[in-house]
Amino acid sequence: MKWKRIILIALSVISTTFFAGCWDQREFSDLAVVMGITVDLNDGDSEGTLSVGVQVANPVPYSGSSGEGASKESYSEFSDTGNNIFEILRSVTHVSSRRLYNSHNQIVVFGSQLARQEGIGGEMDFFLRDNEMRYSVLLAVSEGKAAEILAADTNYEHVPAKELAELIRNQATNSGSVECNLLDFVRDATAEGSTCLVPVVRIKEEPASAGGEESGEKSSKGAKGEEGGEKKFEVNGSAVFKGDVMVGQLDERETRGALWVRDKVDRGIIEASFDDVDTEIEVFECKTFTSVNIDDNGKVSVDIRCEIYANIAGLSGYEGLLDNELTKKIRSAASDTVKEEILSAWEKSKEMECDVFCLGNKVYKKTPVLWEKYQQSWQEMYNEIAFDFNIDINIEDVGDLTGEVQWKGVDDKK
Amino acid sequence: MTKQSRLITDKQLMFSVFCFLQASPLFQSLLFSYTAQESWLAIIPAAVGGLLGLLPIIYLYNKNRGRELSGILRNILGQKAGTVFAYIYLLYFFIRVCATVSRFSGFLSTNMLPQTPIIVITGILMISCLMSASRGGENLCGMAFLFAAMLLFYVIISVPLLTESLEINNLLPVFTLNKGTYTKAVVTAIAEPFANLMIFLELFDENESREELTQGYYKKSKLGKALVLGYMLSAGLIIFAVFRDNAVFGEFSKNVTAISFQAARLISVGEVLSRLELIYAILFVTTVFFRVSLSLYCLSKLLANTAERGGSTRFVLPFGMLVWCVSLVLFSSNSEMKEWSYVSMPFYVWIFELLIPLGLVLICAVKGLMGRNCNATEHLSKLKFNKDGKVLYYGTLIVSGVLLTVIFFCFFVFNYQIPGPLAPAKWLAEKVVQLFVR
Repeated sequence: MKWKRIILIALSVISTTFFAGCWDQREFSDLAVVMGITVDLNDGDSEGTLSVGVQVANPVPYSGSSGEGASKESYSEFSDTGNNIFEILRSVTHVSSRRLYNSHNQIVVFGSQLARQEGIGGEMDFFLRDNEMRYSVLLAVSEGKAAEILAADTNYEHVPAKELAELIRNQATNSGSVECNLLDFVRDATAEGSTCLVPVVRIKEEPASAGGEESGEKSSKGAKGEEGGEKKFEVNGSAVFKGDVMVGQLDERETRGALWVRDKVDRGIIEASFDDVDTEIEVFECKTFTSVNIDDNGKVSVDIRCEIYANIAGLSGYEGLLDNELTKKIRSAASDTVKEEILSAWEKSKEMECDVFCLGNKVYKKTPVLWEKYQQSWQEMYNEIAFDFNIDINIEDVGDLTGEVQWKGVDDKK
Repeated sequence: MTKQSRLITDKQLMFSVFCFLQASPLFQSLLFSYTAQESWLAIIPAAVGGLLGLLPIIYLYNKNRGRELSGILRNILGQKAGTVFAYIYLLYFFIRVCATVSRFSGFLSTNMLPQTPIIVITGILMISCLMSASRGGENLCGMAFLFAAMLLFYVIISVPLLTESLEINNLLPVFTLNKGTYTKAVVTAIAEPFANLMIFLELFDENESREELTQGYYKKSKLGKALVLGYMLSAGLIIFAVFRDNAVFGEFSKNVTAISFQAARLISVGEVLSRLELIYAILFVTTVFFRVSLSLYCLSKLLANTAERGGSTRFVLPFGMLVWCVSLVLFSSNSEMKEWSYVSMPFYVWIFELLIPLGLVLICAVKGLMGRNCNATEHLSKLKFNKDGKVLYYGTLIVSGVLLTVIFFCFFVFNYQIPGPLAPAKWLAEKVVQLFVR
C-alpha cells in the first residue's frame, strides 16, 4: 500500500506538472475569428487559379455610436491567390499575426464565374473536410466577384459577412430565395436526380442619401459606388447547381415555384388579382405532397398537392364585407398564382436542362430500379411532364378588417 | 484476495452493460461507410445477432455459477487447455482495451485537442481509469446508472434539437446495395458495437447471486435478465442514434468519419443553444473512461485468477501502464487504426466473442450427452495474495514502468521518435502486437 501511494502521488505530480499546460488553449486575443470567406476564379496577373478573401471580425467594443470603440474598424480583410483554398488560407499567416479560426465562420460566397466554369466541388472538399468548419455554414453565389460582396455596406451589423448570413436566414419570410448550408449542398448535389439551389447575392447601389446619418442607421466601412451611393447587398433568386457546377439561375418567382414542389416554402406573400380586386395573402404554413408516376410508355405525370394555410394581408378594389364568395375567389386566384410560379420554374429548368423540382430524386428514392432504367432519358421525360395540381389554400384569418376601408374623397383626388 | 465488501446488483450490471456498449458506437463510422443511408436497415439485424451472441454467455454463466472466466474455461476445457485459453483471452482483452484507448486518443487529437500530444491525452485518461479501476468492480458498476442517464438524455434530446436538419426522406432509398455489402455491414456491426460482452464473465462472480451461493442456497438468477435488458436498452439507443444520423446526413453518411459528432455540431437553437458537441465530447470521454476502467479491472482479475495469485485489483496498475504504452505504439496513425477497425477487428471479435463461446456451449452439450456434467456451482475463490503473487505483481510493475519511462522519454526527449537502440525492441513489440491485430 505504501508503494501504491508513492506511485499515485508520483503520477499526480507528473500529471499536474506536465498535463496542466493546456496545449490546446486558444486565447481569444490570439485568434482571428473568420466570419466570411469568398472564393473567386483568379483572372488577374497573380499566380494561381483561385482568389480567396477572408473577413475576420475585430474584437473591439461595439456598443455606443461614439468613443474609442466606434472609431475602430469592425473587421479586417485578407486575400490571396493560389491553387487551393487551404494553401491560400494558410498563406494569410504571412500577413496576419493571428491564426485564422474557422469555427465561427458564417458564410462562404462563391463567385458565379467559378461556379459556372470550374464547379465548386474541389473547394467544397476543404470546407467539408476541415475540422474547424461546421456543416451549418451558409453558402451563397455572387453575381460578379464574390470578393466585392463582403466589401459592401451594412445596415445593422458591423461585419458584412454576419449581416449577409442573417439576410439569407431571413429569406424564409418570403421564400424568394433559399437558405443553403454546406450539408444541404452536399446532400442535394451528391444525390441521384437532384439539383441544389443556392441563394444569389448581388451588389445593389443605392443613391447617395442626404439623411443617412441623421436617420440613425449605423454602417460600417464599405465600398462607395461610382455615383457616391452606398453599395449594399441584395439576396434574390437562386443559383441552380447540377452536381457541383452552376447551370443557371432562377429569379424570385421561379425560385418560389421550385420551392413549392420541393416542399421548402415556409412563409411568403402570394399576390392574386381578379375582377379589379387586388389581394395579397400571407402564407404561414405550407405542406406539399408530390407523387411522380411513370407509365409504361415512359410518360411522366406529377401530382402536386399543396396545402397552404394563409391570412389575408391586403385587399383593394372590393366594396362590401368579406364573404365566402369572395374568399373562394381569392383562393382560386391565389391557387392560379402558385400554379403559374411552379410552371414558370419548370419552363426555366427545361432551358437549363436540369430538374429543379428534384422529381428524379423522388423516383430514385421510391424505386431505385425504375430510376436506373430511366436515368439516361430523364431530362427528355422531364421536359414532357404532365402536371396535375391540387392547390388547397385555406384562409385562416382576414386580419383586423372585414372588407376594404372606403376612403371618402378618393374619387375627387383622382 | 481483496475482500469485496459489497456486491454488484443486477441493476448495476444492467447499466454497466449499457454503458460498456455505448462506448463503441461513439466511434462508429465503419457501418456507415458500408451502407450509407441504409445503415438503419443493417443495424437492426446486427442488434438481433448481437442479442443471440449474448445467449452463450448467459448459458455459460448459468452452468458455472460462482466462477469467473478462467474458472469457466478450466471447468469446460480442463485445467491446462482452460489456462491456455484464459491467457489467450487475457491477450485479446488487452489488445481490445489498447485499441479503445488508441481510437479514443485518435478522435480527441483530430477533433478536440489537435495540439496536445497523444501521450498526454491517453495519460490523463489512464490515470483516471487506474484510480477508478483500483477501487473494484462494484464501485465501477455503481457509476453506470449516472452515465447511462446522461447518455439517454443527450441522445433523445438531440433529435428535437436537430429538427431543422432531419429529413425522413434521407433514410431512402433502401435495398440498393448487393447482398454481400449488407452481410459485411451486419457482420461488422455485430462485432462493433454489439458483441463485446464476453469480458463481463469476469464480473459475474461478484454479482449479488454470489451471496446466495455463499449462504448455501441456490435460486434462479436474474443476472441473465439484467444482461439482456441492459443490452436491449443499449441496442435500442444505438439504433435510435443510427436513425437520427441517417436522417440528418442521408447518402452523405458514408463520407463522414465521426458522424454523431458532426450531427451534434449542427445543433443550433436560435444561435444560443449551440456548440453541443462539447456535451457529446464529455459523454464520449465518460463512456470510454467507464469501458477502459472496467476492462482494466477485469484484466487484472483475469490474470490474478488465471495465475492463481489472488488480488483482483492488484494488477490494475501494471496493466494500466502497459495499456498506456501499447496504445501509443499500436497504430502508427489514425488512418491505420481506422483500417484495422474496418478490416481486422471484426474477425477477432467474431472468434473471441461469438465462436469460442458457442464452442464452449457445444462442448458442454456434448459432455452432457456423454454423461459428464459440465455444471459447477463452485465455492468462491479464497486465494490469498501470497509471495508468488507479489513476485508477479512487482515483475509486471517494473516491466511496465520501464516501458512507460522509455516511451515517455521517446515522446518528450527524443521528439516523438523511437531512438535507434530501441528500434529492435519497438520492432519486436510491433510484431507481437501485429500477430493479433492483423
